[in-house]
Amino acid sequence: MNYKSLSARPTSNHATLVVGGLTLVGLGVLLVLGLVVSPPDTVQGETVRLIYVHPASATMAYVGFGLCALGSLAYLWPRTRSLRWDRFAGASAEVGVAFCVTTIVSGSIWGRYSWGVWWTWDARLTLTALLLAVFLGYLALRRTGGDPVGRAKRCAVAALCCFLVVPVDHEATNWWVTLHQKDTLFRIGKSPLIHGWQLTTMLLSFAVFGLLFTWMLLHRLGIEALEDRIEEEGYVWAVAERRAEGVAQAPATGPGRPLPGPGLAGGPAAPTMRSAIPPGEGR
Amino acid sequence: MSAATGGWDYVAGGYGATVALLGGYVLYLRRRARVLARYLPTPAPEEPPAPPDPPATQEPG
Repeated sequence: MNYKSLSARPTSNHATLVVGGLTLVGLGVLLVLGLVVSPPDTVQGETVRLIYVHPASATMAYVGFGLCALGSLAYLWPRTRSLRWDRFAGASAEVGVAFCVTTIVSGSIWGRYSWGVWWTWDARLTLTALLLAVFLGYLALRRTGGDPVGRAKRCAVAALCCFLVVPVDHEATNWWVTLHQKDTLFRIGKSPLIHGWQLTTMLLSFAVFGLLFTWMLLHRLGIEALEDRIEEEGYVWAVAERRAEGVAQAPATGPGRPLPGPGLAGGPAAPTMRSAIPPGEGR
Repeated sequence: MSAATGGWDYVAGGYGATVALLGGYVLYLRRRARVLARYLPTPAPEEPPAPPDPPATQEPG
């Protein structure tokens, strides 16, 4: 692998480039449709344009938490048990948390215009805040030390428990009387509440945010792969480096004296590891 | 309610916050990847080839 390209874009590959390019194009089209082409609403005025950001963010948060639960299930299932699933679950949850924060902030701004308050303890809002809190707790649980296998099992069980909040949060507007509006698009047995360019732009927002989510997840998984490489190869290289240091500090060997080890002083140059990762760095 | 701007300031706030939060997360991922890549083991640079032996000279006499 070329080291320079690794250093410049360590988690990039063909997939991330393609998905990233599509995401950029999609975001451009979405901005034009959302801010220029799409008409204002008769009730909400221009702020209806937030509908092209807020619901898509919330959906991607659900997708992230759903993938986290799927990865956790795959880890707990004996036939598919692998730490790769645990790492996939962790990566999905982290990207989901990013979208969940975006959902709450954009929703709060929208609520300030529509309801006159930045926040209210409405069932949907409260459950979304609870969802964010439990998945932040899940991410904190992943940072605990100890045996990786035991930790993965604990985290998988915790992720499944955390995921229980998702369907309750989604159905909150149907189960309780809430200030938050009900579903706009997916209404069982009824047509969507919006039409024309508004409907087209909103559907496009789900596709574009889906691409953005995929792009972020691919990069996040790339970071997991980097951490794996350091964990697997770093030890071997560190030992080789220490051996090389030991050879360099040893007294000069005479012509008849045996070399300290095969392939070190007399062989090709020993590999060097740049340094050990300081505690907390790279996390 | 922002009657003067018809809500455009809230739209700008919502879009801006979304870009800032998701963009910030992307920058965080980028920095984290770069830090990890810096600590990846890298192969040592190859040693330059040894200079060719000087031509053998015959000593006078």
